[in-house]
Amino acid sequence: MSLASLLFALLYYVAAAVLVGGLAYRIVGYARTPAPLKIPTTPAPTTGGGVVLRLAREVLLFESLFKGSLWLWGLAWLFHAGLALVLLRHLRYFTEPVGSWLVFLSPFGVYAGFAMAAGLAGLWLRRLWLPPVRYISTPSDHLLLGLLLAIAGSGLALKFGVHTDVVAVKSFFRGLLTLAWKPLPADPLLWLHLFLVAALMIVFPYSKLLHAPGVFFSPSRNQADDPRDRRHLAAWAARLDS
Amino acid sequence: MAAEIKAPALRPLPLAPPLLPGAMAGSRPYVASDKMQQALGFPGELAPDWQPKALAKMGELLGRYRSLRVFLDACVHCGACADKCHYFLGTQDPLNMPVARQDLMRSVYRRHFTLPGKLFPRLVGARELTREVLDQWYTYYNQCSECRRCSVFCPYGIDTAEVTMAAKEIMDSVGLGQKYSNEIIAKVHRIGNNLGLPGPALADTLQGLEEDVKEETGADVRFPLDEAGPRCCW
Ligand code: SF4
Ligand code: SF4
Repeated sequence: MSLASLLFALLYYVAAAVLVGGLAYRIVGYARTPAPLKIPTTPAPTTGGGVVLRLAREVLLFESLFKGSLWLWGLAWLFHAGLALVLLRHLRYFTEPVGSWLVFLSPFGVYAGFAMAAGLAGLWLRRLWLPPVRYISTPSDHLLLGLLLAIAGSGLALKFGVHTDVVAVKSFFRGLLTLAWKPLPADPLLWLHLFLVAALMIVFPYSKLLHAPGVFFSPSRNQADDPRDRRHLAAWAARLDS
Repeated sequence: MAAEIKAPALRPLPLAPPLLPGAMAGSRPYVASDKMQQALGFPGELAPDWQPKALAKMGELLGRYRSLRVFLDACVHCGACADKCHYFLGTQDPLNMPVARQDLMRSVYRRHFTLPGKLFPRLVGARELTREVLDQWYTYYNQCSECRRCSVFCPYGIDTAEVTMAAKEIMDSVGLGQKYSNEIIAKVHRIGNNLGLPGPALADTLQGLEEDVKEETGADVRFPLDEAGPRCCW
């Protein structure tokens, strides 16, 4: 095992621990914090089933964003849908054997890579172009877009430009999972790609990427509009009552 | 015959009006007097140690309201809400964009409550809670009517009203209350009605009303004050 392989193995253990641990910490924090007020934004569903449907529409179709800005919705959806397919395609590096559904999906993952890059580029141009959006942007907003675009770009370059030994890459990641470590190909472009992905995993629980778990915990989206049927009372508010 | 009323033609508004930074920086409500503040159990005015107290209050609210915690974390600065606030559309002051209004508190949250804000404040737009920032809070949180329109269009349902309410609660708790609301609430507590009418004045008004009703309708209608048992309240 080369030093680089060892460092990458270590990096990925750390990144995975930060990602999982950090997200778990955040999610437990959100779940534990009371939501004392019923504040679903109208028109709101009145049943639990309705809430599930509403959240599904928000997460899969970005319903509210669609109402808010069509251009932004198009770009954001292109990027996120592309990312989802690309992530699914990357499952091949972790599963053995590779399921037939994954084999079926994989070619779409390639096109999705372009969709993802196009969406990201569009989002970035929009952020630079529109004065209101430029006004609210912080350096980290630009950096995250740059990071994601660099990940997409290096990934596409590995697929269409300088091929790497994907069989060895798979054995490296399988090795990480099974604790039987294998070497990583000595390929600078691959190293770049993997390093950027690890960086993304590490910043995830500390950045605005928390919008991913956050949408599920947003009281204006995840509550049923039924305060007249059921009294809604948080423990601390009940103590004020008594 | 009544004059014919003509509605003016509908004017299309530009989708993204040009920004006029600082356009509304001078528009702020009167600060509540120390008497009114203290009547509600708040400090009369800003004490020298207001900053740690404000931050402690913010921490308390973050533990009480999931909305606040999630909303301060989840915003991606996408700007979908930016042109949805009528106070931004009407004034073009960028700090009246819902996301910018939230950022007045989010920047402080990042600086004092998150790791990246403590390590790299400039990178994530984090700011200390200084007197200038507090004054910005007072100006721009009091320019939000808490109508929640912005929350309709946000992909995560981020509701600026929740942030505005938290900011006002924090400002009250360190002695920077707004005169209009706090005076009314203090009057309800101290005097018993929102107008601050003293008892004799109210009794006199009611007596006048009884006479008016008698004159108009000929009926004897009593307007009771501070009595137990009446079936109608006025
Ligand atoms: S809640 Fe406040 S920020 Fe949002 S649209 Fe209404 S007034 Fe504007
Ligand atoms: S729409 Fe929501 S996520 Fe986008 S900038 Fe406004 S508050 Fe932030």
